[in-house]
Amino acid sequence: MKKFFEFSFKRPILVLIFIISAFSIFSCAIKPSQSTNHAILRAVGVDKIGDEYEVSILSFTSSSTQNFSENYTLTSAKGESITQALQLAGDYLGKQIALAHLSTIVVNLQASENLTETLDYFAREYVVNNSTNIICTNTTAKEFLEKTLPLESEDSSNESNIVTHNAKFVTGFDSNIESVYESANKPSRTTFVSYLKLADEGVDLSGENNSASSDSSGGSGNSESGQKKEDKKLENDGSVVVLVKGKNAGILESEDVRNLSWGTPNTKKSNINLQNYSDENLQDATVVLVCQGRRVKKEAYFDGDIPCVKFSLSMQLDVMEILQKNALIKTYIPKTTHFNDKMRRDAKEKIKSDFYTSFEKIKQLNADPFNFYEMLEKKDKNKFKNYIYSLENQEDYMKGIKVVMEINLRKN
Amino acid sequence: MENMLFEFAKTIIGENLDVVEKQVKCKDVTLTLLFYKSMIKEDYLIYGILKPILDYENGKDSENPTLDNLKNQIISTGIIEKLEDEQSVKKAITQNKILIFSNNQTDACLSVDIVDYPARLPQEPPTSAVLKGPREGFVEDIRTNITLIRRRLATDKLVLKELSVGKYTQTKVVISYIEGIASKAVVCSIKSRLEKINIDGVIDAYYLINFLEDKRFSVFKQVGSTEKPDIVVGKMLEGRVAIIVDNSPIVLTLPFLYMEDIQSSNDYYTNNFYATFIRFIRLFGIFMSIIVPGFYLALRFYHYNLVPFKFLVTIDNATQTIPLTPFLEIVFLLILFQLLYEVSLRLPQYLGLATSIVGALILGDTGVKAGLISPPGVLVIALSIISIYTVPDQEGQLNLLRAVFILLGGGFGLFGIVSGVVFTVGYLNSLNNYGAPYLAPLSPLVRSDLKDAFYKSNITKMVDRPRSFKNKNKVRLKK
Amino acid sequence: MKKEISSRQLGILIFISMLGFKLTFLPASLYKYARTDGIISFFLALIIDLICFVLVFITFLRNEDVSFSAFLEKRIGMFFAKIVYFLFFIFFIFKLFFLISAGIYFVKEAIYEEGTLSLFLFLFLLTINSLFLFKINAFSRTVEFFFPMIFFVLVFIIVLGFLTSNFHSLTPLFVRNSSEIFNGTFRNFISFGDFIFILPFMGKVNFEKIKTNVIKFVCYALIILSSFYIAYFSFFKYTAYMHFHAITDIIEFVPLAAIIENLDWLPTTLMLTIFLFQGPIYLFVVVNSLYNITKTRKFSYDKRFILIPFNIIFILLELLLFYGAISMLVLSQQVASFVCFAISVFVSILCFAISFIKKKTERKKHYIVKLYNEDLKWISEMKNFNKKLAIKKSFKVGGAK
Repeated sequence: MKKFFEFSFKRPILVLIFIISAFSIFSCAIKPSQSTNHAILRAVGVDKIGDEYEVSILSFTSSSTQNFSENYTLTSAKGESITQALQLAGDYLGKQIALAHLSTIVVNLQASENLTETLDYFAREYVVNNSTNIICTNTTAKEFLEKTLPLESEDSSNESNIVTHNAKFVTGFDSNIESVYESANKPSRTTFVSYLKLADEGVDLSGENNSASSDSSGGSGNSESGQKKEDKKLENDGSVVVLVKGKNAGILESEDVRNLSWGTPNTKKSNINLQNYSDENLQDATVVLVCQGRRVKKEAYFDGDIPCVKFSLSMQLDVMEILQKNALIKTYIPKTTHFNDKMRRDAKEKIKSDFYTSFEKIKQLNADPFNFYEMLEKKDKNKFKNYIYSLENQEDYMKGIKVVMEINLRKN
Repeated sequence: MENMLFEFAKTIIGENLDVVEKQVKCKDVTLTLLFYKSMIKEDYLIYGILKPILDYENGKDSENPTLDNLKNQIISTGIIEKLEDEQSVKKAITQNKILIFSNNQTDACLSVDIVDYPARLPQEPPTSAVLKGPREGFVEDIRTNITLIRRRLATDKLVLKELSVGKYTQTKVVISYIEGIASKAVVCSIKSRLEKINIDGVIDAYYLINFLEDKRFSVFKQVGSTEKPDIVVGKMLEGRVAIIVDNSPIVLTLPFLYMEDIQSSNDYYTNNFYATFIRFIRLFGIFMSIIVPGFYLALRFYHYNLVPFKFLVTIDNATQTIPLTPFLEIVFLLILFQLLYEVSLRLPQYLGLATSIVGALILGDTGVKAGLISPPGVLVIALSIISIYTVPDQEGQLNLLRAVFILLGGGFGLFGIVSGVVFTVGYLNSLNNYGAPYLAPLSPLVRSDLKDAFYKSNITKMVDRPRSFKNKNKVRLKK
Repeated sequence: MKKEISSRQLGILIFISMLGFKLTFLPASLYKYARTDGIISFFLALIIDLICFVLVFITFLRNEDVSFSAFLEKRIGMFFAKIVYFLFFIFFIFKLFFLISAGIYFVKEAIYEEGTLSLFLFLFLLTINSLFLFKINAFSRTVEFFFPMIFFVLVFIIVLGFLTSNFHSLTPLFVRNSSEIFNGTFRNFISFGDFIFILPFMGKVNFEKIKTNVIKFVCYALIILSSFYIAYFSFFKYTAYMHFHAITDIIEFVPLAAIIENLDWLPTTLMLTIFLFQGPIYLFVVVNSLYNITKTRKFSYDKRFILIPFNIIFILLELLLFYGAISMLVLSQQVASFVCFAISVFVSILCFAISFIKKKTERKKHYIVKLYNEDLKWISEMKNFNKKLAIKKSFKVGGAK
């Protein structure tokens, strides 16, 4: 023993290496890899049915075919809380739930009524990134995941990428856990969440890539086979669920979303259809114009005591397509590709009228997606406070705000 | 009259197969030559010693030849010394010199140094190949090695001090430095350490390394070694001391800094920018060789969440049917590759091709197809092993470090790896050899030496000698 | 006195000690009290910290060749010096305890789903003890070695964070009450006040370019911290309370992260490295303080022996408190932060004040040193200290020659 202590003091590093080696060898020689006993979830569906939650998990299962295919299993479980339901689902699979690679959370409309409550578990769980996409659906989340199972392994068209595409090109709003909680905490308390529907028309989900497999387990959990060809299809028309203070305030249809997207600089592409357009070259034509390089500046001001917000748009419109209805004018006139003053005026009017129309709907929902509250408060805190206190219901502050849009179309 | 010295010499030289006792009559004197015939050049014996003696015998001079005559006039070859005591006679025998005894002079004898033995010609060393630049390498013969150095340092300031080390081998060890540049404290320290060595024999330069190190039980090398004379001369010009050992093609240099192994002679014979790029590749290679297998295990055992999903799919699918756990798989692959390496070192060249086919195709490919090993595991270990040879001088210590990091990564995960790296660097920083911090010029930061550390700057900018270790005469380039 | 570390190394140690918790849980904790004005609380704490640093640094500069123990004992006597050491001990024990607990918690949450406390504790204590045992010059060289990597990774993370930030959302500020802002400052002061660690380093630092180097590294740290907090609060203005590990969350929404899926390993590795360097700094001060409290003129011992009982007590405390009813963070906000604030301010002011107190004998010595430095500069290169002393004494008798 004495010799051992003497040796330890003389050669401490050797003793250290020996201890580390012994520990490592004993602990990891027979230890399997983490993904063997963890169910790696790619998507979770939450359905609120009454006071219960039904959680459906889409977990990745490895296969020994040694190609790069991704195989998924869908399992469901019910519980009084999401934590309980998830644990049960994991038990049915015989693995621990691993949420680090979670990319999508799908909720049904009932669960979206109080979305912050629904997402509470996921917000607290550190391994779940707050950039995880949130999708609302018209059917149950379980059915949604079932029907979209074939898309999961296709990188370009799975629902997570659809949501990202919408955020960039359609709505201009992120639809993730962070944006939901931000909307619950910020004064303007509004955000949009992607609303993907299963409908009769849309992306065909049946096909050869249906690699879904399933396990069935006892108890209140069940899982589905995805081999049947169904009529329901995934429809992404850009409609959104409007969340006010983390709660579902209503659904905004795609047309309104696209009209409102004129007010956000984030959406990359927008287009306008001028119906029944006539000028010296065209008669009753449908002219499609595409916006390039849109810059949006929002300015808050007070017109006396009335809070106002001015949207100043600066962009360039290009003629993309002309659909001539009048069969008499068939000659292709190069001049019609030129964006003339009448077209400019009509385009401006159309954008403004579309925007104001859709904005009225937003006002009805008491939603403030453009953060008017913060802008007006920053502009003149006292005046804005006076305005707020003057209202019967302070939540209805949007109704009294005047919105003006100015458009500057830059010349080509 | 009895020649006591001769009797003593005979007892020392013994009755061995290659001992020759030749008597030559010259005038009235009988000269006895005693030598090991395997250690002398016969031509020099015949034409340099025997012929001149015979010429004198047949010459006009009638005086009997004395030892002094033989030394100064008659014998025309080799280094001749007159020995008068038993100790020097013993030393001359051990140094394989020819002893010449005269029957009319019993109090002394002559030793003639015409030692010759088969020696290799300078060739390019296999671990220091260059694309452009000198290709000479040191050989086992110390005289040739000294010639190679002296040819490059045409200065009277070159100092070569000889010592003998080893009770039975009496190996010649030469301490070489440039006076006025090398630090005397370092020279004295090296000399005193070598003089204190009391060992049976020194077969190679590596025998001396443990005696010259400050921390003897360290995994990390603390003495520089090279087989190229241009590298040695370059280091001596920076103020280092070179130790040349007989029978060894390795020349040791001190003080040693870690950055020396990152530098290569190729860097000085090519474009600066390319040399800088290659140094970064070497550093990256060191990092890859040590860290990658341990990191792979850490990801598999603890941090699946850090692996991008696509990689996770590939790895999981590929390792689905592997019967071994990840740790055992990595250890198995490591042992397999090490076996292949050892075999390839010892196999004759004509079997080398067969070994590579067996190793690469059969073991690698078939093992994967049979489901015994996985492609990610093979890739990780192959990458690690190949990366070690970006810095071949550190092969041994990198291999050991890799094993330690495999244990740390597998047992503790990423935290273990980070702790291991920090601990290793801390340990390296605690090494000080001959007053030089081991990781200089990085820590402590010596800005002037960075020009030849991570990056290689223009030679016109290298005005000062390195400040990371003790030397004198700091300016080496005057503008 | 023998100089063990360079001024650049001291600057880097100060830089490392200024980071730490400020990059992990502090923003979320500030939000808890001051909401969107958490950034104001942070800058207020930083200003107080800087004032303390200036006081401490001036003390440091005025006592080039004196060790801290000699400085204290000569100025205020042995008894009061031991009290000051006791305060140091308390301060840094809190810090060390908090560092290990918060560090382990961070690591466990960020990258280890399964990992036992004992595993982390073993490695953590092993590494910081080893770095301590390698001695201060090897440890400071190690920190100097890693500094470029730490700095560039930090800059990279902050640049990534700025990619998703929107500076307009940072304003309006000062919307909360001043009491809430001050509360946020004082309840989180455990993350500040590290500067006083440089006092026990007195006499060990090479004073060449010390002002330049220290000020340079303090500025680097200030710039990095300020830009980090601006980027963080401009993006997570309303959700800062959800992001307990700020440095990993700041890059969560970056498009690059989306491609690679998870860049968490980068900030986690960075924080691990920073924690592993802060530990030995605190350990150095704790061991030194304990040694100076327990030693007497007749009794002294090897400081390394303090490590054994210290580590045992530490492990027991961690095992008892880590999973206890009161989490470390709550403890820090209720008790430890106020204690840390009081000690760091008190010690800074005290040391600054007493550095101006000079006794008669010291005044004479100062005169002699001045003469000796001005008239005979070549003597400073002589390494034999006794010779120096002899020459000093000869001047003392006859005055200048």
